[in-house]
Amino acid sequence: MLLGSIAFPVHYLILQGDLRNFYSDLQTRWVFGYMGIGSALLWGFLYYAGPYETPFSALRYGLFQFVSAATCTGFQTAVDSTNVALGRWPSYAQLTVAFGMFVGGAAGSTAGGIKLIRGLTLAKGIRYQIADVFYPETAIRRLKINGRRLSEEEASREFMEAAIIFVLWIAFLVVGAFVLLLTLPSGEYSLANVVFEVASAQGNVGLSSGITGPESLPAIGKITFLFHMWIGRLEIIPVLVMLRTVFKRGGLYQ
Amino acid sequence: MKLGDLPVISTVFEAGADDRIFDSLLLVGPLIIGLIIILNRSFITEALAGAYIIIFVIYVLYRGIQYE
Repeated sequence: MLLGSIAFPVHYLILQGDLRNFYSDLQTRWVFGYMGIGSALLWGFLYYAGPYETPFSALRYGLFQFVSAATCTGFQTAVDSTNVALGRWPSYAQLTVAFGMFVGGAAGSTAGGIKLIRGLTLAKGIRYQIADVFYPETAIRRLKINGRRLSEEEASREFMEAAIIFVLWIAFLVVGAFVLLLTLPSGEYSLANVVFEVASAQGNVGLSSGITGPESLPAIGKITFLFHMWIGRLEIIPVLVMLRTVFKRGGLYQ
Repeated sequence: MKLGDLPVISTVFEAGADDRIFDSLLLVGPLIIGLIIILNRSFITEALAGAYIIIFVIYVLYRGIQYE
């Protein structure tokens, strides 16, 4: 699962013998760092407040489910027959897994989500923008990302692109959650269940909190998920560009 | 006739990793999976799969040392 969430160019370089890419490539370094932090967090949640009695079983399920989610693999070991299903985990544990699905793996890998590089560009970009207040207007600043030194214009462009994907991802997640909350039987599923399920569809992961099923999910929900899986795989912007073209050529946009 | 003239092997040699060990691993991989399917899980298939992974990892590490 971890290998699948590392970018293919990095696979190539490692197989060529350049093993330094395991730590010199920003995304690959963060694949291990963020999976480690997320799994440790989930382990803590599951053990101290969750459904597992021994630290080992909490570790086993927490580690596997977080890595499965964040690498967008979708293997699910936490089901009813193995003690407690994912959908009945505490809401904060479910949202931790949903966050893993939201961020995903490295760009250039098989993973979905907004991708690690965009998350890191956003985090570094926000710090860069805030620090800008403390520098004089004449200061020449560079944003360093993955060994590249970006000029202000380049940094602004990359930050903007990451921010657009981030906002669109969240916007469609919210829209999907609204549709599911409207169509699902009231009181049967929590908000955390719904957010989890939409994040799973949009991130092309496949984990389920129990909503998706031939009987449990109404037809409107299935159609919504079809749309989410489609835009998630294409990273939203190409779909919006296509819709704009359709509307513009059809005369609906003007 | 050379080994590289055979249909599937020539394609792998031409489009593969330009490295005889990686090319061989690429060709042997599906055969091992086929063997596991035919013989089911047994000591022999486990040993084969384990040996395959060990050879792969050792060769990658060897290339890493050579690269330095």
